[in-house]
Amino acid sequence: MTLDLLLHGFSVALTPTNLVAAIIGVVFGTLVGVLPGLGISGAMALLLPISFGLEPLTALVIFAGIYYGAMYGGSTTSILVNVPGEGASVVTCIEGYAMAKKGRAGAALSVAAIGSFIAGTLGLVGLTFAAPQIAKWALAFGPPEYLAIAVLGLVVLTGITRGSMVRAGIMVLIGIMLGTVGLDPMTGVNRFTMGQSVLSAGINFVIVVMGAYGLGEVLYSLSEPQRRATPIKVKFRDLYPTRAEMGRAFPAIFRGGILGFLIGLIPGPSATISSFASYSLEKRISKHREEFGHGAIEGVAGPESANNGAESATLIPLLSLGLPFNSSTALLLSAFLIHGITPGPLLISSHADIFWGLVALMFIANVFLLVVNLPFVGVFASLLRTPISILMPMVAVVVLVGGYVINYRIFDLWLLLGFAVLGYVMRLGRYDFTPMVIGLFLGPLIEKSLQQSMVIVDGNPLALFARPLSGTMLSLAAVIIALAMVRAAFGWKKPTFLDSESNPDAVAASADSDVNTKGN
Amino acid sequence: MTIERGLTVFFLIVSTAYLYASLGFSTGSLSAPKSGFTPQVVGMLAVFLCLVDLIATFRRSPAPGEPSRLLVAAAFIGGMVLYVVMLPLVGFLVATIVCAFLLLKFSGVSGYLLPAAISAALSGAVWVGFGMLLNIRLP
Repeated sequence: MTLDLLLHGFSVALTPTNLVAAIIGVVFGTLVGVLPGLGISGAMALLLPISFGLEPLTALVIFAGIYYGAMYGGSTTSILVNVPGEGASVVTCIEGYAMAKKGRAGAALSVAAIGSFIAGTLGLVGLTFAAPQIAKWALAFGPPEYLAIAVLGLVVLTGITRGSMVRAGIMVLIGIMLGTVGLDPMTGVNRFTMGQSVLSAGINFVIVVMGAYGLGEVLYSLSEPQRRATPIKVKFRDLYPTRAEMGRAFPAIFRGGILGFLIGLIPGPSATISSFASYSLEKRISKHREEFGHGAIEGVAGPESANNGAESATLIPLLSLGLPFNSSTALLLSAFLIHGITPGPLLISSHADIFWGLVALMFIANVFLLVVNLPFVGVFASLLRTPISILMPMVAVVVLVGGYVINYRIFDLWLLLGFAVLGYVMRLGRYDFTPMVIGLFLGPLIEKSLQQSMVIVDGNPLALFARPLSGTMLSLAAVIIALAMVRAAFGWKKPTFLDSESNPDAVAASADSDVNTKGN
Repeated sequence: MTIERGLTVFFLIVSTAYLYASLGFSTGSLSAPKSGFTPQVVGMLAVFLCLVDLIATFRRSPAPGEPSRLLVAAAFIGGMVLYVVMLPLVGFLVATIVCAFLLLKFSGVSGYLLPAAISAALSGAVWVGFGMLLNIRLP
């Protein structure tokens, strides 16, 4: 039955326009991953207004292509330049660049691409079977269950986000506060608009993301000491790994893909976390431990597979419940909403063509990732020679124009600049913007669910704990908060996936704001 | 005061102002919450957490130094502000050419010919890309 539906999806999706859109998405995503500045979230936010005129499926496949392409692009810079293009590619710097210095850059790039493809495909298979089933269960959910899922998701997000849980909690709450600006749909009251009618519509989520992740990243890149990237050259004929290398890489690819998929189901920067977790796992179980830090191929295969597996898994709560737990899935949700489609339990039944068409196109985009990007890796790498001083003003202009054409309001540009400055200053102050963005997006849903839940339980909040599902999730959230308080009281450190003695470079890299602030 | 400490104070001020403003809306009751219910709950939680964070941040030693090119970032922000001011006055093409040129100079591109050429080409490309290919109206 599921396979029939998937085949139907392929029949809907396989049009020349959609195939071209998939290629554009994957290539643009790779560019975004390779080049500093924009990041996945900034790129998706920028393309959102541009996608207005496209068919829904065509627009969605471009975004999905960016989603996958950026992960691969990030690994290209990690391997060739020792600079992570995305937070999830930090660990690839360690082994990938070491392999490149030994003349095995091509093998590293191939393994990263093949691993991304296999894990992405496995993740999509998981999505194909899991999403419809979860959507069926979710049809029985009421406001208390949605409230509980959102609260648990946000609590887990604050626990996993780098830095203190208190600070991440503040960011979530500030985001929810921003989400209350404008007309309250339940009561019709204008809130926190300061007499400005333009704020009645609320604060546009896309503007916030473009400002904080797009322009904020531009400002941060410019204020860093300028480095000229000289990528290691790779010839086409050097792209193939040896049989021995593939023999070691394949098990790591499958382990990483499965681990990444499971971690991807947890709210938060799952792609980044899964790559670190996979690296630690590979190092612990490898028969070639002495090679780690000096070019172990498992250290590229595992993490690169893990982050793609995680990317697929994060789509499950988005498509089946309509709940995004990172900024890129929140933008994907915005793309759905703009085209009049509401992800959630009813998506699969009321827009079956869209859902199955999108899943089919993601399989295809995954193939394009391998076929298109690998032979052109030299071209992408050469773009790294573009000076930041030329690239960043270009990105800034495009983001400003993109921000204007959303609603054709100068006020939006002022908001864009305001959040750009805030995102930049928060980056300097080592605050993570992502929880604020998720809080902003989920805030209205949480408020609506809270109000409706209070009516259902007749004002008795403890009654929420009596319902099996909401009670379990709220109890879990309470336990996580309690554990965090105990940890803080006794001065225990937050658990990490890295052993700082064996991976000092990775830990140092993860301490850099780059890990979590490009929107993933 | 470091940026981190400044932000901690900033968020406390914002949360307190938000909580104060939310008191002007009707709370309703637990069984019939109104427009002020969620803002007041969120505001109180935020103020509490901000106070906890403030104490923790000021007890900690400040984080190591900030990037050295803050002036570049400040000039860049000024250039973007100029763009927003100019856009409704002189239209897209002129505003974009002028401001792209300034942004390129602020970010360190030397000479005048190269930034002028890049800003003209960029403005033209955006005009063609947005206006003609994607059919999106530009001012």
